[in-house]
Amino acid sequence: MARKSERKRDITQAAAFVAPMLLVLLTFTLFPIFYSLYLSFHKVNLVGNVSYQFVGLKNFINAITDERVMIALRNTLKYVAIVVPVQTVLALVLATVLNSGIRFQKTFRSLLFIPTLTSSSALTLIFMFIFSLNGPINSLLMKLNLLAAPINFLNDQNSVMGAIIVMNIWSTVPMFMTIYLSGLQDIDMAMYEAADIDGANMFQKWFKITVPQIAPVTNYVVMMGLISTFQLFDQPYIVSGGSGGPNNATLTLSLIIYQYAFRQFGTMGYASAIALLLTLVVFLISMVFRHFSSENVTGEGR
Amino acid sequence: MKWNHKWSTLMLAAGAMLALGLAGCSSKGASDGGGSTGSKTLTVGFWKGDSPKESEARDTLFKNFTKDTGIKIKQKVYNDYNTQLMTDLVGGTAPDVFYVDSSLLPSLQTKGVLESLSSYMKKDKYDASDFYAPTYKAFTGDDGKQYGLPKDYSTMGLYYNADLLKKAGYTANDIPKTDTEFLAFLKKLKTKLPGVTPMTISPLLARQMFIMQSTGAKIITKSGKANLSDPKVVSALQPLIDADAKDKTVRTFKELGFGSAMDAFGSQKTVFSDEGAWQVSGLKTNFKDLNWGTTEFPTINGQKANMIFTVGWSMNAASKQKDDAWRFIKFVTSKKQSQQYSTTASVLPSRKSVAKAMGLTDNKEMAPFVAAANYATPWIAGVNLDTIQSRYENIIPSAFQGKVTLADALKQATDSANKDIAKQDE
Repeated sequence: MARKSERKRDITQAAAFVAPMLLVLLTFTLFPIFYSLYLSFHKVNLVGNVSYQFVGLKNFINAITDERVMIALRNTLKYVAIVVPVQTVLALVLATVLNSGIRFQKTFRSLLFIPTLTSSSALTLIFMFIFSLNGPINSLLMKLNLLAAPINFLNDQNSVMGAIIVMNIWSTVPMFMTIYLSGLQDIDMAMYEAADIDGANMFQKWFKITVPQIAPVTNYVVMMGLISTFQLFDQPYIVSGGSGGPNNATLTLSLIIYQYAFRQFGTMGYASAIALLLTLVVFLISMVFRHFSSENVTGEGR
Repeated sequence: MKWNHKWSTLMLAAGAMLALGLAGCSSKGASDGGGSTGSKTLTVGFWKGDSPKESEARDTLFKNFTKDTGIKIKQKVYNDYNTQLMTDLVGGTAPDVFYVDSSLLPSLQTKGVLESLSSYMKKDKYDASDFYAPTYKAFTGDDGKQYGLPKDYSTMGLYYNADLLKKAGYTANDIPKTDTEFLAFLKKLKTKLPGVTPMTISPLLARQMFIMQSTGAKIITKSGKANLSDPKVVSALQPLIDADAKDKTVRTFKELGFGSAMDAFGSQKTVFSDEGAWQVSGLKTNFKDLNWGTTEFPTINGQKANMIFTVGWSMNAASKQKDDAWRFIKFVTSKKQSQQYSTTASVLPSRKSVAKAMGLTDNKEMAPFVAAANYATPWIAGVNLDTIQSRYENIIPSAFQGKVTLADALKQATDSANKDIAKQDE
C-alpha cells in the first residue's frame, strides 16, 4: 500500500514539474501546428465574418501549379545550396585557425562572434548601406579599377540574391564556428601526436583527423543550417519592402507565405498549405541527409 | 517523503497560479472595453508617421480629448500597419478607433469590420460639407454610408532645386507646364548640368497611378481585377519609362543609390523630385541649406492630374464603446482640434475652413498641394489594391532599368495579381 501511494505521489510530482512546460508547448507549438494543418484544407476568412469552407486538396494543388510558389522554391533552394556548404566549411576553417593557438586567440573569438549578437534587421540595414550604389564596396571596386561604373547590387534582379547570401553567411558563420570550437576540444590530442610522429603535415592532419573526428558536429551544423536557411525571411523582406522584387528575385517561400497570410484577405488557408509544403521539403531533405551521414566516427563501441 | 509531498503541492500551486495568471491576462484584455462607471478608457490605434511634430500634435489631441470628456486614451502604435491591424482584427483585439488609409477602406468595409458613422452623423447633425470632397468621399462605402472621417490629406507636387536651376540658366518660371515640354526640358538640363540627374522618382504604384490613368483607362476592371496591361495604361506610362531606360533623364531614387527620394533630392544630385507634401517638413529639418521650391505638376495629356492620399478615423464595428468612439471621432475632426493638429504637425487639413484659417492657399510652399486637392485622383482602387500594388512594385524596377519592356512587365504583374485575386474568390 505504502509503495502505491508513494508512486502516486511521484506521478503527481512529475506532472506538476512538467505542467508549465507542457502548457506552453500545447498553446504555442502543438495547437498552431494542428490549426494550420486544419486551415490548409479550408478556404478561410478570419476577418469580419469568420468562415471555414472545406476545399479538400485544392490549396495544395494550387500551390504546386502556382508559378510564383515555384519561383520562390527555386530561389530558396538556390540560396540553401550556396549558403549551407559555404558557411559550414568557413565555420570549420575559422574554428581550426582559432583553435591552433595563434596570438590573440580569445580576442579574435570575441570579435568574430559579434555579428551573431546583432539583430538581423540591423545587420540587413548596415549591409544595404555597404552594398548601396555610393557604398564602400562600390567605391572600393572603383578605386581598384575593377569596375567602370558602380553596380546597384540591391536594385538589380541579377545581383540582389548574391548580396543577401553574402550578408547571411557573414552573420551565421560565427555561431557555427563556436559550435565547432567546442567540438574541437573533444578530439583526442593523442591522435595529433601520433600523426606528428608519423610525419604528417598540417593539411594531412586536418583532413585525416579533424574533419572525420568532427563529423557529428558537422551533422548538427548542416542540419541547423538547412532548417534556418529554408526559413529565409527578414533580409528579402527588408530589401524588397515585402514585395519579393525586383522581378521576383528575392521571393522566398517564407516571404510568399507571409504575403498570402497577412497581406491579402482570404488566403490564410492557401498560405498554410504552402507552409505545410515547406515543412515537408525541409523534413525530406533532412531525412535524406541523415540517411547518408554517419555519426559513427571511431568505428568503436557502437 | 514529507518534503517531496510539500514540494509537489507547492509546484501544483505554482502551476495553478501560472494558469490563472494567463487566464487573468486574457480576460482582463477582453473586458478592457467594458467601461464601468468612473474613468473610461478608449483604445486608439495609429501609426507614428515620420516627423516628431506629428506625435506631439497627436499627444495634444489626445490630452485635449481627455480634458474635455474625462475619457482616457490608451494608445496602440502600429509599426507595420497592414499586418498588425489584420492580426488585431482576426484576434478581436483591434482598437475602438483607428487610422484607416483610404486605399484600405474598400476591403475593410466589405469585410464588415468598420462601423458606419452615418447614423451618428445624422443624429448630431454633423456638417460634412466643409471637407474637401475627394477626402470625404474616400471614406464613403459602396453602399453610400460613411465609414470614416478624413483627418488630413496629402497631394504630390514638383519639388525643384533652385540653385541647380540657376546654374543651368533657368528660374522656377521656366519650368514647363505640359508633360511633353517638361520631358524635353529635362533633356536640356541633362546636357547643361553634367553629373546631375534631372529628376528622381519613386517606383511605386501610388506615385504612378494618376499617370497610368491619364489616357482614360483605369488600373482595375469593374470587378476589381488588375488592368495594368491595358494598352492605354501602358502607353500612358511609356514616356516616363523611356525617360529612365533610354534618356536617363529620370532615375528612381534606388537607381541613384539612395534610401528615399528625399535623400536623393536633398543631396543636390537631382533638380526635380515628385513627392508628397510630407516632404516639406522633412526637407526643412534634414536639409536646412537646400534652396528649394514647389510647383504644380505639368499637365498630362492636356489635363491637370495628381494623386491624393488621405487617412481618416474609423470606428471598429466590434467596439464595445461605440458612443465614446463617436465622441472621439467627432472631437478630433472638429475645426478647432483639426487646426491645432494640422498646424503643429504641418499637415494639410481636410477641412477647407481650416486651410483658409491657416493661410495655406497663400503659402508659397503649400499652395501647389492645396490646389491639387481639387482635381487629384484618390489613392483607392477596389479591394485588391494591395495585391496589385505588390506585383507592380515587384516588376517595375526592372522595367525602369530597361531589363524588361514595360508591356511585358505590366502583363506579368497583371496575370500574377489576377491569379491571386481568383484564389481569394474561388
